[in-house]
Amino acid sequence: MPESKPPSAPLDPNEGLLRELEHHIEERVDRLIGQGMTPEQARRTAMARFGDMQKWHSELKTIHSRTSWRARTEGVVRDIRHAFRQFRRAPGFAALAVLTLALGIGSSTAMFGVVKAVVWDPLPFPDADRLFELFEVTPDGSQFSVADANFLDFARVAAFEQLAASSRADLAFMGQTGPLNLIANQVTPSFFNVFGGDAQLGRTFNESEGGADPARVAVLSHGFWRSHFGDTNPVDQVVVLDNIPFSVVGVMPEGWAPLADPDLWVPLDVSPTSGRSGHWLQVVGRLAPGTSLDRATQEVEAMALALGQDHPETNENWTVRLVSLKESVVGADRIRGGWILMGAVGLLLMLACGSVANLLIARASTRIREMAVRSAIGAAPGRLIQQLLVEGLTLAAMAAVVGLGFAFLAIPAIQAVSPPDTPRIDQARVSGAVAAFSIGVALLTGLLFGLAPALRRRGAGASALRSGSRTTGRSGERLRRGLVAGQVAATVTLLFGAGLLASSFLRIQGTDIGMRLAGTSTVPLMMSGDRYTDRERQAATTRMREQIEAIPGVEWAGVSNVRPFSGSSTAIDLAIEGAPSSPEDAQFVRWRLAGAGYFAAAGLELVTGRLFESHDFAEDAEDVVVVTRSLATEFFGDVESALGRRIAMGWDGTNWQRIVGVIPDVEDLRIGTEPPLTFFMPDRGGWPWVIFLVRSENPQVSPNAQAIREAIWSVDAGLPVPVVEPLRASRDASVAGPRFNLALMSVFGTVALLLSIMGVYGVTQFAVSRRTQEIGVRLALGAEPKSVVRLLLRQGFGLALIGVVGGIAMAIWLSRFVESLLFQTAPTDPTSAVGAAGVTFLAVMLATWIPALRAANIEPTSALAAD
Amino acid sequence: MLHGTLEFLALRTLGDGHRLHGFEILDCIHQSTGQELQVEEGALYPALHRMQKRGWLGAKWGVSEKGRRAKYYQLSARGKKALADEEKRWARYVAAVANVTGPQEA
Repeated sequence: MPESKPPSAPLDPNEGLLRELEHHIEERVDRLIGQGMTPEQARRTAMARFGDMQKWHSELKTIHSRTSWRARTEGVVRDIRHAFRQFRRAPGFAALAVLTLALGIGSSTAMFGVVKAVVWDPLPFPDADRLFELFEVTPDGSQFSVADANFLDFARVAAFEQLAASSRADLAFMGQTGPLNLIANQVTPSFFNVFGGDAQLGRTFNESEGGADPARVAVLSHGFWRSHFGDTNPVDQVVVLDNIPFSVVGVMPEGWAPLADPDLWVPLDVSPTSGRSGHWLQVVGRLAPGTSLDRATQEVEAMALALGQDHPETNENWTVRLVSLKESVVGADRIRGGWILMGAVGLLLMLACGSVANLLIARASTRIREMAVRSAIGAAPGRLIQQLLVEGLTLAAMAAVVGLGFAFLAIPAIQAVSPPDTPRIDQARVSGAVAAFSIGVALLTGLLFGLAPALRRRGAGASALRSGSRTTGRSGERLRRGLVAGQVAATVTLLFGAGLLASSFLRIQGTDIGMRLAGTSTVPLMMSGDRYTDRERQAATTRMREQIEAIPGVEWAGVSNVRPFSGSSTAIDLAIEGAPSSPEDAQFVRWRLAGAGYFAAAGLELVTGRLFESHDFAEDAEDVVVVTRSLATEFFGDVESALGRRIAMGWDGTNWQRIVGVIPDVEDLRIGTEPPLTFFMPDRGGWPWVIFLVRSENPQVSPNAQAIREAIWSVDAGLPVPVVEPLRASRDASVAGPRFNLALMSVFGTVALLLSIMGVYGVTQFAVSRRTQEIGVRLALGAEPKSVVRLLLRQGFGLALIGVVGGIAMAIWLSRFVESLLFQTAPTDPTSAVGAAGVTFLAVMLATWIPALRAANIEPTSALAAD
Repeated sequence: MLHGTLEFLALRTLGDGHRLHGFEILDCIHQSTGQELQVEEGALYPALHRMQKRGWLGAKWGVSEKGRRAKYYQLSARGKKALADEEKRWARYVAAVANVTGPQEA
């Protein structure tokens, strides 16, 4: 080949590379011609022996421009293309790896999104971390709402920048279609300051509009404004609530609903003379800047102590408790549940990663040879590692994309099955932070997987090139078996968790609440004081009851003052006649009203004594009470001793009431707690909240809701009847939380089981194929196929045993964190442990048995000949 | 072949301080190993360039006896040390292989 430049002229770098390679060809051609070849033959042979000129040229270029970014990127792009080529060659493997990892990434991303929205995200108010809720605490430690006058004193605490009170009121309003029951929040003007709410139209309350004699003004919610005023500006217009005209001063923006979602807000009447014994205020506030919650707690506790000294008859030994508002709104149960579910899904993710790691290690064995050759000709370890890393990251990137797609679908599914009162769950979505989380997980797993084959390469050495069979060697198989054992352990843990939650849930469902659940409905009514006097109320409820009982299919109806499963109750401290009491000993019990027919409607049968009779409801009748069994045994030893004894409301009460009867315990507030001590007084119409309990003759059929409404309206046409709810629905709603936790944990457990089965199957199959020759030899030498199966089963048994035992140990250790979510179920519940271990063990043995059977059917001759 | 066999053989060839170009190096390797290498001849050049980048070899363009422009390689001080290290490593490997009695799973 003629030279294009004289020998002495300098070369630029690229020309130099090419020139060097061409020189080699020239020398080889000379040599071959000298050995007798023709020039054309010589050139062809020389080129063939040299290899692809372009390839070597390009590799030289890479070596020399290694530090340039362009070369780096080109190298990475090349590696990515190489990775895709590898995946196309083994599409089954690639699909399985991507799907498995996507499952792990997708589920953990979805869970992260949900927990973030419900539990971790700050409340949507300015300075939300300084917001808190304040409770009063009774001498025996129960948490209570706040009394009016106490609230005013607490507001003077220096650590509080703002303190506000809220109380729910149900107000009658005449809508276009008929009487409506509006939900209003009575609030102090500071309420809007605490939550940083600015009115969308008009303004919020002035300081002067609150206080002892509040103005008749109202701030409307966005929804109420739209549905009753359309587009017109309602400011300065009048709404009539409970027959009282209120002037509208403002409208809040859409979605502004701190604490509750009322139709409108009106000023709360609160004054120092309001009293300290009625506790019904919900109190929230904002801490002064730079003040910690602990510091504020100290100050307000000191205030409570001072109040106890100044007003011993109402405040002695009462204290206060501050809770950050987020914790109060979200609820300790949900916070715990959120962490537990994140932990469970994290376990699932690790399981999925283990599966993919196993797949990659198995596949790496087929690449050992390729890598050994490249290493022998001097490819730098760094290049190989980069290539493996890129492969791992490409796999992880694909899985991240699929996983994100899966999360998009999973989040709405989770929202659909979540408890209806879960706060903020509708805000869960795949946000930027959430996507970043899944990408981070993917990167981490991709890096780990990229390195796994690189680590396996170390152990290969000369044997890899020499032997033709696929092999990772003993240590490779041991690593795989170790990974699978870990998967089995994780599966057992998740299934155990699901078992615990299931056990707890079943116990909750099976708890006897005292009342009959089936075929019973509740009807809450607000019969307010401006509409009825006590006597009128009693008369009206009596007539309503008669009308309702006249409905065909209705067996009993009666009234009480608390709606079952509503979460709130009425309580008081008790004085026992004959037993000295003091404020510190005061024990708080629940009190209820029971009208005629209530006990029958609830299905509460008499234990001893008698139930209320018609003469007990008269205004001047003797004060008698019916107590529950637990109250009787708590204060009097046994149910018989309780009869005839007297109790009074308030630890220093003097209005003695005689116990005439004992009924079974009633748990109608929140299942999962101990049945409370409760006593019932006859309903004499003194309480505006009237809850009808209606029971059908036939337990399978709920009472006819429309007929009930009409029965009520026949007595008072203007009374709003918001809802007629079957008791079972209320009860189910109250256990929606545990049901949700159980559902999710079961899904995780099932997926884990599937992945483990695949893992065990894969590793057993791999062991079989690795030892095909050995098995063939055994069979050829006369071993029975059964013995081969037994051998493999024994190995599988060992694997299952280690995995299951390890899993149980880990599960029991972790179960302490779940303990607070369990009802009457020990964290070491044997049934759950045996169930989880048993199911997993059987699954593992099954996954071992099938490849073992195939092994027994190996043809000895083909096995021996196999490479 | 272990990692870097080709590099090692090239280092040994230049170990006596010769200045050789690529084809000459390959020739010496063929003579000393007594057989053809089972890789393409062009594989030598990435090995040489890598060692040059590492500082084990110095390189200079010159003119061959036939009057052609060629790139000549020479062992540097660092390269001499690297050669000594590689020789020790190979000696260990050879001893280990000598102890192995036939093909086995590693």
